[in-house]
Amino acid sequence: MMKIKKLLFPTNFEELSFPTVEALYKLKSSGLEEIVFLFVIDRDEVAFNLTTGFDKKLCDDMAEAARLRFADWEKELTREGLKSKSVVEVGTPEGKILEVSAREKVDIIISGRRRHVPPTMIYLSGTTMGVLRRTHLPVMVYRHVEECGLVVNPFMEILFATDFSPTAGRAFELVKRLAPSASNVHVVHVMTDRDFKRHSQEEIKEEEKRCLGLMGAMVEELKGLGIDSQAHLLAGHTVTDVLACCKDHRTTCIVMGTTGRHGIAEAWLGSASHRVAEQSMVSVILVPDKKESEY
Amino acid sequence: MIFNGKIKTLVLTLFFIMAGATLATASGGGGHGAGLGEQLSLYMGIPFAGILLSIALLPLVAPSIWHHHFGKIAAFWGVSLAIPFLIMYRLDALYEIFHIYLADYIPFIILLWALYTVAGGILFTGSLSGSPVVNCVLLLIGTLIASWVGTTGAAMLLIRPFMRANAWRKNRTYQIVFFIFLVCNIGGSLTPLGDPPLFLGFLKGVPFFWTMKLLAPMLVLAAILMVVFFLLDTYHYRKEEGSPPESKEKLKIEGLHNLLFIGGIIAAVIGSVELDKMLHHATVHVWRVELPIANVMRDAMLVLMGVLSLRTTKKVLREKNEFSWFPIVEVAYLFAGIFVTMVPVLLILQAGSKGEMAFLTNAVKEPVHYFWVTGVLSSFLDNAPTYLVFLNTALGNFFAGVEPPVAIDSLIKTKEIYLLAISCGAVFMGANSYIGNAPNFMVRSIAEEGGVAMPSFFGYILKYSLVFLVPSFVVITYIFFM
Repeated sequence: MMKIKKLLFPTNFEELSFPTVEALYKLKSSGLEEIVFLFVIDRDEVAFNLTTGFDKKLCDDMAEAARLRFADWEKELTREGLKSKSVVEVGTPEGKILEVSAREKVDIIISGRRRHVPPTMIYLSGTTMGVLRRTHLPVMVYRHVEECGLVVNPFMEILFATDFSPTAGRAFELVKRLAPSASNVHVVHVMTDRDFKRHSQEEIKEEEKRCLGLMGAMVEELKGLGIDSQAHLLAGHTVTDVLACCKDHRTTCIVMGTTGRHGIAEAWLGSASHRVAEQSMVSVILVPDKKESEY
Repeated sequence: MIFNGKIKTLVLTLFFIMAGATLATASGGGGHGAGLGEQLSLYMGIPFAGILLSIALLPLVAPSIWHHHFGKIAAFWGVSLAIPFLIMYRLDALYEIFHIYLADYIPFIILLWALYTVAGGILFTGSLSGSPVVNCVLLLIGTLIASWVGTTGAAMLLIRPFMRANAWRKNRTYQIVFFIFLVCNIGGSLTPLGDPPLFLGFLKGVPFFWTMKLLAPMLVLAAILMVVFFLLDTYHYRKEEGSPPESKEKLKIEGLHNLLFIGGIIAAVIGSVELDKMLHHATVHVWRVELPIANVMRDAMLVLMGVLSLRTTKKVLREKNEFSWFPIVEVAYLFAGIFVTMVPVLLILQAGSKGEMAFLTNAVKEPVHYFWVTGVLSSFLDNAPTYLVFLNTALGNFFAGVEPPVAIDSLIKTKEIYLLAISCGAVFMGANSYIGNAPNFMVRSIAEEGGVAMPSFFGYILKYSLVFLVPSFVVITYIFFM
């Protein structure tokens, strides 16, 4: 089974900072060896100035400040037995995250929440949305959770939401890779109101049986990897029920596939995975349906 | 991020202008109508002078403030004209503001946006050798295509291949400066698509292909500069040690389908003239402003071309082109301010000797005056509004009180050399400084980011413009405008 050896940690030192890195140490059990730190200097901030053209001094100062901060973090990582690398680039954050993730061959991208939003809600920033739309890698929308002053292991109790699609299959592969860092995995499927409206009572019974069978197979596979696992078949609204299930079972992380519905299609039809990522109180890992990198 | 603040500024500006407009409408019309230019005070030109001086001086004295707050500064000048103008001249002022935004500003920005967006989707990869001949060929290609894809589009398309070809060369500063001269300015002189002032002329009634009359001065100027560049580049090439590294990457052009959209833009602009005739000059009314249906369809087509380019071109191509919306956003904000503050100045100038700027129309008489005054002001103020100011000065001089399209037609038929002088001055001398034309500072920024040491604002003027351009303009003056 593939391991999660390398992760990309893009930061502007506001949305994602060192406590997040500490929380990710837990991935060592899943094979984590190296963290690549990325700081992107937005080109519009330092370039196209009518007088100074490209403001090299400002750019160099920003890069140096980032390097010093990363150097400090890297010391901590060495103490933890992890390798690290810091990259500072000028460009657009979205493009550079994709470019560096391809160049460094990372296994997962970490993304933060946007500032200045209510604490009860994560707002997926333009950069996160852009990365989600274009990457083939899993993206973890990180939510920092502490209990009694201690950072909670975000991978301890995983909720895996599946609709049995090929993308959900890719998400399940990721869950198996995360399994060594977890103590329990809840496999969840939500039968929606639409399913109930479209089918007869017998057909619904059949569907329930089919879903339970598929989830049962996943549970067995996870148990085979030495992870405790349970299946939960729910009925109602995907976003509401996944979030409710997350609360009921005190899960620390949600993993689900995202079908690539973005922009106008998302505004019109909605995207359950994006809503879950926005409203969840815990971290959410979204696995895209794309298979290849653009870079 | 940066645009959130700008959107707030735009909304606030529109709010203030609309508040003034409501006040004007509620108070009834002022009854000025025709001849408004004869009644307007010269003081109404203060916001226009203010915004142009802000563009010229603030980036020098307060670069950081300018970079982050240019939208607010443009809005300040726009509002400081709009409110008193609306209060004093009510519906007439409201009509003039609406007219300039709907008939001039929006089409102007749409064209710039469309060309910039489409050209930004074409990516050249691979590298050339950077020899004097190859460099001259690249500059020649840039100069030739600038009239069709716009100077900004041509610059965006070729600056990186040009820099990659010369990455191994030691002296690269003059190469970029000549790129600015030829591709970012002089090359854009043959069609209204090439350079913003010419498109403004087209919107005012100058025929699309009339600008081809700039071919002779453009060829002379480009030939002089190209020969000088070749000699300079050969001198440095022989002096410098080293040779171009062997490139493993083959020359490749991606996003070529964007050429179709460029074709669509050209067809839309040229076709709008014929379509207008076919539709018997049919118009739509937005409040009291008459807009030719053909022009509305042209603008819709341009937007479509830009949107199609965005939808069909991989985002990664634009990222590899280091494409940024910042330059076009900056142009859009500044011109929103420039266009509104320009309204009274243009009206006064159109009034000719009956207006309060008679001193200017009387002082600028000969073609040589128009060439140099338009040119020198275009060097430090933006060349597009400068072109319009002197076009209106000429109209006020020769055809005072006549409606602009009719007056332009008469100007072309009887005093063509004046329009030629204004057009050449605005387009050619936009190259005199970094702020003369939008692509100049964009290319400078890209070159500096790529490690080329570019001269300062004054260094560029003293070491390059005064040395290479001004003597060439003297030659052009003697051949064409004396």
